[in-house]
Amino acid sequence: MMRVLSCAWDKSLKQFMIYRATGWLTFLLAIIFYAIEYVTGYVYFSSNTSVNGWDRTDYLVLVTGISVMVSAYNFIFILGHEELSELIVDGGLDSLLLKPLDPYWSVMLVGFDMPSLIELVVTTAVFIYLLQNYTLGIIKVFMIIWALIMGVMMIFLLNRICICFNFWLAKASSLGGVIEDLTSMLSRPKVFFPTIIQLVFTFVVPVLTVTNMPVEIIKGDGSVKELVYFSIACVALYYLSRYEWNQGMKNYYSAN
Amino acid sequence: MKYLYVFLASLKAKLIYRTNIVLEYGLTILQVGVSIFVWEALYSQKALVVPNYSLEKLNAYLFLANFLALSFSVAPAFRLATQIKSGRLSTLLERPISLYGEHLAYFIGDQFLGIVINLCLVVYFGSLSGISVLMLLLLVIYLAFAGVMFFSLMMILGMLAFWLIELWPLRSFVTACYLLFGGRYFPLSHLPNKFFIVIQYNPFSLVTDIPARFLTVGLSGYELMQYLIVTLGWTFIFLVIYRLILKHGLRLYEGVESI
Repeated sequence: MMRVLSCAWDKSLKQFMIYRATGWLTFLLAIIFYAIEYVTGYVYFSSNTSVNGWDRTDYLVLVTGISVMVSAYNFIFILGHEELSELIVDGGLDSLLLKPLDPYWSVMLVGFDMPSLIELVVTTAVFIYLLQNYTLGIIKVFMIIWALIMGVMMIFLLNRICICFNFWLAKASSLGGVIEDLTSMLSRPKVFFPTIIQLVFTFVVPVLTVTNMPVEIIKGDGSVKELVYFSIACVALYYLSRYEWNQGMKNYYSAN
Repeated sequence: MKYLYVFLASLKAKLIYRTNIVLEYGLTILQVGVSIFVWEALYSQKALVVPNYSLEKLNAYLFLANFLALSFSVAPAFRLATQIKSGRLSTLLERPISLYGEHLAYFIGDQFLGIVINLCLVVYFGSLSGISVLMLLLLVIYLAFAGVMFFSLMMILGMLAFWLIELWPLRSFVTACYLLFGGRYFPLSHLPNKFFIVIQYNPFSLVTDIPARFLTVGLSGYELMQYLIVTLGWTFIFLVIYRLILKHGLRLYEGVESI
């Protein structure tokens, strides 16, 4: 497995080196998205008073943390998911299924997205810089890192579940971008939303948990118990996504 | 005549495959809701108030800006980009039909439902604000020209696919620009004046921010004519750039599926 992974890494690195201009353009486009969220944070909190317990630094940490998670997801998983969408709809999954690798994961071997790696480095640097404003013990640091990793897994699982709907729905081309849109919309403090929205997006589609958990831990509102529940939810969602994949396999018609 | 067939086919396809409609409108309503909640929190805590905008006007503005953005959609860019990436552009180039015309006819058919809904919204909010029928007609004409301008911009962005390898960053970038400059997060006039003077003429805000402002806070006829002239200017520039980029892009184009 490690050899295959290092092959994929080599291929992605070479591809980035060859198409350097487009690689940097990709990075620029992605970083502009983050910059705009940052600017919007400055606009919302331009008077620098605290709203519902959130001040400007909290909001900027929220936005940056989400960027870290999204760029980590993009770096590892997005190329695979774009490929998977097309393969399911076009009926080209055979090449995946015939290989001696678990098809659920092997689609990721399409490659890694190098521009997202650069974005990940940049946003992580900003994140660590913003964290200087808070006092954090070693336990909290571990909790934050774990929350970020769980966040990436959750984004991955939600996207995979959405993409696998293509097994049953025809021509639902917007499905690929739904989770991305939801994540960017819900990158706001949880307390700003009415209760019903908070409930739906914490327990049904846990996007709000993903976006808010790191900052809640940083501010001291997050407990280990919540983190454990979140991890359990991740595992449960993984089994749901596996089940959906198996059901999708039964429904799959090859184009060959 | 041939463009009419493209229009009808696209309209039919849109109405048959309804999942996309549900998803699009659902997400737009959520986006409107999110922006409104944030501003309600800011207003209620008196942390930030936009001058000239009461909470109701702000809510109406956000609602309009987002729903206008729905029908002035970015979809043509990605349809063209996918055709270029997959090599299916070749079939279109071989036909006795203009590339621009085919995409425009498809776009109008695809967005027909959205256009009808937006006309209803214009009439509703117009009558609510007490704007005369003549001004509303002027707004509709403005919207038609703004639509063509925006569509031309989308065609240019779609043609970036001749050079880009991955398309998903384009989606992030265009969405982000649209959200900020299109006034979908907050009214553009809220930005500091030195930014606003320059930014108010950018294509994204001409399409959503201006009509939304017209229907809530109100614009004079003179200002609207000003924006209309800027819109025509942008349209001319975009059409010139479109031809240039198409020529250069087709030189790079291989006609087969790449990567």
